[in-house]
Amino acid sequence: MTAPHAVRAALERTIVGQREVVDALVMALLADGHVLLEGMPGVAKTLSCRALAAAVGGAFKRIQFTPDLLPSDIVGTRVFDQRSGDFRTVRGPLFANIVLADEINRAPAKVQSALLEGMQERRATIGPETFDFPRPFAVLATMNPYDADGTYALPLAQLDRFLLNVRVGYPSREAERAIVERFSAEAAEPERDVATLADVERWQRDVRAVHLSDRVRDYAVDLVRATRGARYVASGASPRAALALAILARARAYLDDRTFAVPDDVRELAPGVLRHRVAFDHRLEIDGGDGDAVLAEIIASVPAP
Amino acid sequence: MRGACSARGWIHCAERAVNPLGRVALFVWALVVLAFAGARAQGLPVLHITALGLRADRSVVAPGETFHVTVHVHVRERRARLDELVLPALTNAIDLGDERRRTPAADGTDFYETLTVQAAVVGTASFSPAYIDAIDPKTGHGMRYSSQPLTVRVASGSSLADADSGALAGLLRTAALVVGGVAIVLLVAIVALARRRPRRAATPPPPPAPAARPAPPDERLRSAVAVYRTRGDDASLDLVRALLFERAGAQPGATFSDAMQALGQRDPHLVRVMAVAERARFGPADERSAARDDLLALVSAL
Repeated sequence: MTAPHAVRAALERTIVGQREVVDALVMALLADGHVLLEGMPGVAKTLSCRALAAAVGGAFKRIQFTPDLLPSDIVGTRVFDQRSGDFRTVRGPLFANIVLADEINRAPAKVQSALLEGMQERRATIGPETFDFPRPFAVLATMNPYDADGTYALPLAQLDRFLLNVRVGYPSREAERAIVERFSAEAAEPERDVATLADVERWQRDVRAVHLSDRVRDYAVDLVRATRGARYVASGASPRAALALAILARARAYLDDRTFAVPDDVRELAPGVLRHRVAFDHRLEIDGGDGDAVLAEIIASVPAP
Repeated sequence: MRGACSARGWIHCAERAVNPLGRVALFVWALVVLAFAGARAQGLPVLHITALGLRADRSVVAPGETFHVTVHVHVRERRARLDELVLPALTNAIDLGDERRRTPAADGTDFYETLTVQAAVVGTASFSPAYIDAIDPKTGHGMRYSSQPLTVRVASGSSLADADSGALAGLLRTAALVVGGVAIVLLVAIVALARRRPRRAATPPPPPAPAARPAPPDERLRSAVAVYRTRGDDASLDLVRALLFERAGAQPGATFSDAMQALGQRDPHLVRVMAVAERARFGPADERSAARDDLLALVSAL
């Protein structure tokens, strides 16, 4: 019986020097959630998503978001079949187990909205019919926060649909040397079929059974509530953030072979859960502050049990 | 009687209850409410409580230092015991014992419950309000009489000195204001005493006990473990965890991972003890009991 560690190990062999990203992807998969990856080009965002899809052996589709993309391009459409003389449904690339939405902020709001609605509902309506997405289903979206020309910023309400927001930074010097040594001659090829989709669904069920004590649950709630009305914060995180913290804490415990979550699980995951759910006000920019530093202060202000 | 009435609007509803059937219904309802209130009040003592306070003999203490917290209650009744008094719950402090003292007064009885407690780790030792559930003789209703909560700062040696000097400076700053106000207060007091008799002489607070020297960390851990062994509750386990983290070199308020980071590779046994403590504290119900036994066994080898 395969364990999620095998998937993590496979990803680590492909993605060098991005341990936190790998952990976040595996935990989001265990928690049955979607992930938003932010970082500069060339830091293995897309490769990480491809590697995850290959490792769990599911159907993988990649959508490159562009300004001329239409909702029907991702959801699907009805086309007229001349032979049968009737319309037939052509499902879009959203019908896959792992969907990579590359550069999600380059598509207009209508397309983003269609994607995010699908993420939430896990089904799509094409013409008169509604179709469920395959299970498991996860959207891994990437975004480059620095190259903002010609992009469409995602509204907070839609960002809230992502379970985690992972900042993909530059690897260390050692890791970068290893990347050049291993992949300069040949392209990185992800390991395939390390686990099955049935394994993933079983893990997701097991994660929900991980014990979350009252104190740890209250800590998650207190952390989320502390974002509301905090200095530099224009709008705090929603209750969905507390739910995300709870399920991710369980997933982290499961990945760590524990039957119960501890305060460290909540605290370690809080930045990734909160950073895209909190809107900072103009004073932060005026003062030259950093959102992550503000979040770190908020997290530190809540005593862990 | 037509229309819905809120609980607060029953009087107005009664005024509007013009038909006889409505009046009968209201009367029956009132009887039921009174009977229910009476049943609730049964078992509570009737007490004139005129004072209920909580104070400590120190405002800043060092970790491991022993200090005293006194609950004072004054009742107008002449009572031999006051079993209804609920003592405060302690956080970041170990209860070493308590002593109850009763002093008859001219207008009732004073009770002093003095807790001897030991500060645990740097931070704040806090005490929830002490309270008594009793029937207020004026209204005949059951009431909860509570003291104020209390916090005592637990600081390390250097911080303690700073705090003491800071407190002294604060005292000096306020002294001038106090001296200026004393004359006015005395004048007002003399006038007031001349016009009415005092209800009750001020009861002197219990003499402060001499402060003990801070206990060494190992001794504090042993005390905390002994309390946890006896009580087995979450509060005493929290204290054991805090002292284990402190032993690992972590700062107050640390988590398991902070303690692990502070400890490094130095003491694998302590890592195991801390991990078991996490299981005992946050594990599922069916694991906690075994984890408690493991923890008590492992911690004795530290």
